[in-house]
Amino acid sequence: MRLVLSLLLLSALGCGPERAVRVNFEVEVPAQQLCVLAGDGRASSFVGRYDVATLPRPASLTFAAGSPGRRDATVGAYALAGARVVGIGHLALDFDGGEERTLRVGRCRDAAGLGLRPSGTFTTLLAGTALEAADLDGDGREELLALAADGSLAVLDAEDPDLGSRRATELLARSGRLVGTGDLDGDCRLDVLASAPLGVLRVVGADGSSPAPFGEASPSDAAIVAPLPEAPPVVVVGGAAGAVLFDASGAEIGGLSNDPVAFLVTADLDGNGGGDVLVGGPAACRLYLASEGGFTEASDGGAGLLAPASGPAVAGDFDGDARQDVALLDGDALRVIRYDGAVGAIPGPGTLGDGVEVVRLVAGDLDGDCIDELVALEASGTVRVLSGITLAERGGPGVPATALAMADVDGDGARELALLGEAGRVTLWRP
Amino acid sequence: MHRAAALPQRASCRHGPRSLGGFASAARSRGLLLPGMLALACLLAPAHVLAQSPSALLAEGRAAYESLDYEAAVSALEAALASPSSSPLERAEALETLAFALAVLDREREAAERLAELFALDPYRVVREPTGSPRIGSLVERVRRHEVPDAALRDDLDVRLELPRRGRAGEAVTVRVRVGGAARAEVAGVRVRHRSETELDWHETAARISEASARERDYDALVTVPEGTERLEIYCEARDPQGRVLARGGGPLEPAYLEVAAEPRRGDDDVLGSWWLWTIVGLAVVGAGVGIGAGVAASESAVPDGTLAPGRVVLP
Repeated sequence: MRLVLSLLLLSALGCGPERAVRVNFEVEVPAQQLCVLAGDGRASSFVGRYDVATLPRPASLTFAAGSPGRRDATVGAYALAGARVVGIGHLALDFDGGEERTLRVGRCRDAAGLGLRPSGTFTTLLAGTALEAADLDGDGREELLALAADGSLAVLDAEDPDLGSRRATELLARSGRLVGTGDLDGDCRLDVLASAPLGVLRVVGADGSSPAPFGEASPSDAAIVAPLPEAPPVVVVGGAAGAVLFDASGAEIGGLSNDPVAFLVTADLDGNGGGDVLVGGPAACRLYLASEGGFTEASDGGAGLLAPASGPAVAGDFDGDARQDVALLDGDALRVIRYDGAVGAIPGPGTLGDGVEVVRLVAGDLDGDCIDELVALEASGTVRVLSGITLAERGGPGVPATALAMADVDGDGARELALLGEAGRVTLWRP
Repeated sequence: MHRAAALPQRASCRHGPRSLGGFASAARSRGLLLPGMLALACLLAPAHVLAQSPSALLAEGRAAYESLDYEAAVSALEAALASPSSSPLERAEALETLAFALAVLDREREAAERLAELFALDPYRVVREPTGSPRIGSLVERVRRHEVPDAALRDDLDVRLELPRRGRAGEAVTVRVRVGGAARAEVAGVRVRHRSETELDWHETAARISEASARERDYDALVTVPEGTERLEIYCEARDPQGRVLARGGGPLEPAYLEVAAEPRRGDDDVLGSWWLWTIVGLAVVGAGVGIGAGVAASESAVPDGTLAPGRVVLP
C-alpha cells in the first residue's frame, strides 16, 4: 500500500517515468513535403516540415507529456505537393496507452461506408456561399469553411458538430466567395483565399490574420500554386482582366493571360512535380506549364483541352494512374481530359446531358479505390456522383445541396462528401 | 518554416541533461552544477550547432550516408559531435557513421582517427558498416587491432543479460548471463560489470556457471546493490581463455538498468521478493544480425527519440 501511495505521489509530482509515445509516419501518396503538427486539437504547439524525398526510415517523432496532467494530444500530418494538400492523417495520442503508434498520411483509404450523417449547422451564412475544406487547426482533420452572412469565415468541425461553427480568423469578405486553400507561405498552416469586391483576400498564419486585398476587383477565381517543388508558392488571380501572378505578400510578379478568366485549375498536369495552371474562359482555355524558367504556355494541350469552356472545372485522378486529370464543363458538355505523358491529352467521352446547369465540380476518392470520383452540383441542388473516365453515373447521396466540398473530417485518409443544405445544415456522405 | 526551425533550438538545450545519462547523474551527485554548465554551453555554442538536437543531426547524418550524400553526412555528424548536449552514446554513433563516410571519401587517415576516438569511448563496440563494405570492415579491424589488442569479437556468439526487475539497496541480486551461438564453447569466463548512477568507475564481478539453470551455458553473478543507489547500470563481457573479449551483453554506453526499491524488505511474503516471477530482461545480443540498441532501449523506461528533427517533442 505504501508503495502504491509513493508511486501515486511521485506521479502527481511529475517525478514518475516520462510518458511518451513515438509516432511513425508513413506517407502513402506522392508528395514533396510532410507537415507534422501536434497540440491539443485546438491549437498546435509543434509544427515541423520535412522533405518527403529525404525522410529516414522509419520516419518518426517522439511526443512526450510535458506535465503530469497531460493525458492526451493530437498529432496531425499532411502531405503537400507544391502548395496543395494531397494526403492527410490524424492520430489521437494517449500518453498512458502505449509507446508506439503509426500515422498514415494518405489520399485514399478503403474505409467503412458512412451513408448520410448529420454533422452540424453553420451560423447564418452568406447566400450562395461556397463550401471549402481545410485543416485550419492542424489536428490532421479537415474543417468545413463557409462565409457567414457578415463576411467572416465560419469554421465547422464536423467531428464535433454540437459546437456549431465559430469565427476563427480575421477574414471579412463581405459579398465575397471562398475560392481556394493551400500552404502559401510554407509554414505548414493552411491559408485560405477568398474573392471579394476589393480583390483577393487571404487568411495566413496560425493567428488567422487577413492582410489587405490584392489583385483586380471581384476576381472570378484565385488559386495557390507552387511552380516548382522547391519554389515558393504564388497566387494566380483570374478575372475580367486576365490571369495575373502574385507572391505571398500580395505583390504582382507577372501575368499569364489577357483573356477573360472564368475558372482556374492548378495541378501538376505534366508530372514534373511543378504546379501547372489551366486558365479557362469563354474565349479560350490556355495551359501554362511550370518549369525552371517559369510558366510557359503549351501550344498543344491536346484535343479538347484548349477549346473555350465556361466552367466550372476541377483536377483529379479520374483514371487511377496517379496523374492529375482535368474535368471541365462547357455548357452542358462535360469533358474529362486524361493526361498520359508530357503535354498530350486524350479527351474523355463524358457528358452530363442536355439542359443540365452545373455550378460546382469537386473530385475525391469516396469509395477507397484510389480513383477519384467526380461530383457535380447542379443549380437545382441535385448532386450527381460520376465514376471513372467514362463518367458512369452511380448512386449519389439523394439529398439536395446548395454547396459541397470533399473533405476528410475524421483524418482517417478516406474522403467524405460534405453537403451544405438549408439553414446551414451540413450532412456528410460516403457510399 | 521558421516556427519549425525555432523549436529544435529549444529542444536542444532541454534535451541535453536527460541525454547525458549516467555521466550526468554522476556529475550531479558531485555537485558540479550541471544545469548551469549546460546552460552556459548552450549559450556559447555556435548557432548551427544549436539549430538541431544531436539526435536530429545524427539522424540527418545517417540519412545522408544512406542516400550516398557523404559530404552532407560528414557535415551533419561533425555538427552532432560539436554539440555540447550530445550524450556519449550519440557521440559514439556519430563517430561510427562519420568514420564510414570519411572512408568512402578516401579520407582514410581521418576515418582511422575517428575510429580510434570511438574505441577510446567503447573499445568493444560492434561496428558494422550497413552495406557490408569489405574495405571499411578491413579498416575497422585494422584500427581495432591497433587500439584494442584484447578484442576478438565473434559474430557467432550471443550474450544475453537477464536482470530482476528490481533490487534492494544493501542486498545482493543474481544477474544471469545466457550465452548462445556457435562459438559458445570458446567462452572461458563471463564478467558482469556494474556501477551505481553516482559512480564513474565500473565494478567487476565474475559470473559462475549457474547451478539453478537447466541450460548448459547460463552464468550467474551475485551483485550487491550499494546503499543509496536508485538505479544500477549493468553489462557483461564474455572472454576466451586468453582473456580476450569475444562478445558483450550491453555495454558501457548502453547498459541495462536495474531499478532499486527504496523501502526496506518487510518479510518473505513481500511480492518484491519473488523477483523471478517478473524477471525482465536487459537484452543485448552480439552477432547474428540482432542489434544491441533495441534491447537496451527496451529495458529503459523512456521511449527513444524519433528519427525526425527534433527527435523528441515535449508538449506543454
